[in-house]
Amino acid sequence: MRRSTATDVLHGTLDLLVLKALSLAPLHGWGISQRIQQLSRDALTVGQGSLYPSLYRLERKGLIKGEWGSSENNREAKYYQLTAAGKRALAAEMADWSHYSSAVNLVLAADN
Amino acid sequence: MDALRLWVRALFARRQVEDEMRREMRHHLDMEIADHVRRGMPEDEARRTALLAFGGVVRAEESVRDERRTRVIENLIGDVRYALRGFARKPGYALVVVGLLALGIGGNTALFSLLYHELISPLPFADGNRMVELQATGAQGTIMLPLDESLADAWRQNARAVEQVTIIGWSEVTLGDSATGLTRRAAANALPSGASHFIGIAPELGRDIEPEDTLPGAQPVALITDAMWRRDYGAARDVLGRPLIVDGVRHAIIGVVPVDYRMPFVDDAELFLARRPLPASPAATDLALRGDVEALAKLRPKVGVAQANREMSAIFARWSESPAAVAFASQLGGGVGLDAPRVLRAIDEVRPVVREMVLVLFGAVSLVLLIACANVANLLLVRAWSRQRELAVRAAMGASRFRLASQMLTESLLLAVIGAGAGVGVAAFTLRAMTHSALGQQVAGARLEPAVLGWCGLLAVATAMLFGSAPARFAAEGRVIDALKAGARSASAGAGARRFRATMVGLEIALSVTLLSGAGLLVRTLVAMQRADVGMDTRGLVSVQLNFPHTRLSDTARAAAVRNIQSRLAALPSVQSVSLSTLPAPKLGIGVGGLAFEDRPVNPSDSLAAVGFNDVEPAYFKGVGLRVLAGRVFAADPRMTGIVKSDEIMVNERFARRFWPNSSAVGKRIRYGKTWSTIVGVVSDVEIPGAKDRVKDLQLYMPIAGAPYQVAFVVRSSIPVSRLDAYFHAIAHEVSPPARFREAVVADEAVAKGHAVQRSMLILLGVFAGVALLLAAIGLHAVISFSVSQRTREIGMRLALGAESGDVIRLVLGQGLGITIVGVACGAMAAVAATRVLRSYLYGVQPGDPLTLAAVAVGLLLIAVIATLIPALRAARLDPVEALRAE
Repeated sequence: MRRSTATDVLHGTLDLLVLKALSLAPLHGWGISQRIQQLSRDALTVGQGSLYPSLYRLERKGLIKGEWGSSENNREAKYYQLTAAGKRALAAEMADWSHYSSAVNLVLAADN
Repeated sequence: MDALRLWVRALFARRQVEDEMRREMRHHLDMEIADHVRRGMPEDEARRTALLAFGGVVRAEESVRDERRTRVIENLIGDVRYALRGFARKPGYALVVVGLLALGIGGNTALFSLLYHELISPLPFADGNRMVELQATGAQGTIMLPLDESLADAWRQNARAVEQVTIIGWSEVTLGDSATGLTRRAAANALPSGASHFIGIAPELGRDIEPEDTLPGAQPVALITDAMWRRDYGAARDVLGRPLIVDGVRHAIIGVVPVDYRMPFVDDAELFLARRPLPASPAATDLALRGDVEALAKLRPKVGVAQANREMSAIFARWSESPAAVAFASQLGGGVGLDAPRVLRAIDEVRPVVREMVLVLFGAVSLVLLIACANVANLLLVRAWSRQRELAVRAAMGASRFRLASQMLTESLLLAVIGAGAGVGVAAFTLRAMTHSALGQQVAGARLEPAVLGWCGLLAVATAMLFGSAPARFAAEGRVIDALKAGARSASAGAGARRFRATMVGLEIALSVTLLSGAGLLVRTLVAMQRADVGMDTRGLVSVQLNFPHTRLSDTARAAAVRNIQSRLAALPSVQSVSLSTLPAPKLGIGVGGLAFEDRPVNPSDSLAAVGFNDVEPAYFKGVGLRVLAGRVFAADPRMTGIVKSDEIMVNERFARRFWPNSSAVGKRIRYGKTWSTIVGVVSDVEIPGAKDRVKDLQLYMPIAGAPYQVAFVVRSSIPVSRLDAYFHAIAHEVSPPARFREAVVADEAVAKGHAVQRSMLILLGVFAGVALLLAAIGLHAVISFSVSQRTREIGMRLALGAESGDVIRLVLGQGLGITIVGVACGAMAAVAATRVLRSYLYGVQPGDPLTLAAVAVGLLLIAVIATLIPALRAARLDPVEALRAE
């Protein structure tokens, strides 16, 4: 099953990306996907088929909190923001990720 | 917490959650489209691109739903709804299944509650498993000897193995005022203070018997049972303090005790009086006042019965040397020795017969449940078969095999749960019916308590798994898909399913044969019992009885009173004979041990043999119809005393044959207890079939004392027992006012009582067997009907090709009988083994009796023919043209 169009977001990293996107300001679903796309300079596209389950999952874990509010064009939208637990989780996951990716980079460099 | 809140919301506010999800996704899409338009894309192309990027709205929604983790429950709810809709569409089918299960589960639950009551739940007394009786029996076997207060004191002071020695008396009393004439007889227990504490059940109203109530000179007090309170006093709360006349003495009612206020080992009573210690001076002691007493106690923790027995015997041996014991023994008369006491544990002694019987019946009812399950499995399978198109459509629409199977299992479970719910009603009804039967007294305590309802729930789940697994497996089989391709109802039942169904029916038949054989054996037992020769002529034989107080009359006065009453009874019109006996005919006292012979050594089994005995006057044998086979009847005891001292004795035929197989017993000397006696005659045996006594083999008769304390007037007449008893009371009251009456015994009723266990067992087993037979017949009928409807085309073809309707009937009948014969054969083999558990209830017939088995087999074959003939005739009447076009 294809999750996204441009480049698949690596399984398991989507939650991290969503948390990061929300770390600056509360966003609605479309805003999150746009933010991730922008920040990755269009390298990553998040498919809705995985974005919304991810949002539900994070909400269930108590890392984010969704609230209905009115959007820029005066329409109702559900805005998500990080909870305290979400902020802690983001810090921890970022540390994990950098640790992991540098380790992977080291391996790949050696392989070169 | 968040997780739980979201989960609950997703489950119970599903519509709102769904709505929010759609709004959120629509917003997303709209933003995307607006974004594309802003970048200069035409509106409709923007929409298409956005939808493309979204990647399938339905799929995205499904993924979110997965994330909610409520799917299992939603599926379950859906399945339940679906199943209920299905039941509503075919209510008849659902009703039949629920009815079958209610019958099976309900019956099983009812018997389980008996089983729980009998086996699992502890005795309903405080420390019930430590409760013991301390038995004191006379060596001469004189039933239970009155217990001397000094012996009880010796136990209390010296026993270390047991504690809380409690003496409880039992007697019959007259309630009410003789002046007003409104009197009635009632059973009463005499309790020491603290008895309520001993059994751990307190009065529900008023107070317990206190130590000061048992002091001499205290105001006499009585506790009454809840039943008596409701019946006689309309449950009035101001009953406390009201007067109650017991045996002419004014008592004050001090309390009401609950229904389960029963003393272990002691017969049930309606009222409870304070028991006063008897005066220590032997001269003043009145043995009759003591009535029947029981010494109860509790084993101390971690003490065994054997240890307690040793200790009690040692205490007894020391006590028997004491002056009090010597005085006690002399009161009893020199001829009676005292046996060392025996310690009996309540839990081992209470209702062992019922316990075994309940186990047998529980087994029977479990077989019925199995049959019901087999039947339901068959019905479900037929239904699954008729739904294969529906199943195929659902499979084609993406339902996994697992989902289909779990749907079928949900349906089974639902049926089982509804069936179990209805089964609780059936169980309540069954229990009610049983407590009103002859079993009632013993099973009164059984009720639908939580543990029993738990068992019922467990049965529901277990039966659902049992009968639901076959249709579930069927639904999960990929073969269903073929049904769609074939596109017709013509997909014929697979060989596997057909064989399964035939096996189920065969099993049902086999189990019914087993149950019917059991019932059949009991029928033959009852017939044999009714035909059996009791040895006595019991027609019109009634024993009216009384006791004399030991001190109020001299021996001569007592002897004169007995003769006077006897001659006045004999003078009544239509009285044929009146003879004296200690025990009412046809009863015998039971003694164990103490036999010795002058001319032959005593082997241990002989010395420990149980012996039935009675003290009677010489005319008794003729009066009750016992034949003298050798020697003569003993002479009457001329001595005017209350105690038997004659040395002439008579034995029954079996006694004579067992100990002197090759010579005459007459003239031989035997010792029973401490005295030696000479056998002067041999009389015919008395045998009460079914009576669980151990007195069947050896019987001894001694001459009744000239001035007996306890006497039964054995009357043969055509006067109804109530009138005879009334005459007797009037006569005896006139002749000897201090006499105390005992209940009249009708010989025929006493004999019938021996059959009571078999009869109530037969009724229950008969009902179970009948239900089983009915279920098996329904099952067979269903299977054959289904098979006929499956083979409509084939049968039509045969008819079109010239088969006679007789051929078709033979074809269908053959199929049904094939299953039946195999079932009957297996069942007969099972019955030979299974009916062994009935052995101790059978009389005049053996387990696995060929005649019974043959009758059952023939009966079942007949039923099978009827059950099969209905679909067979339908098949024979098929119009071949219609039949061929039908599919």
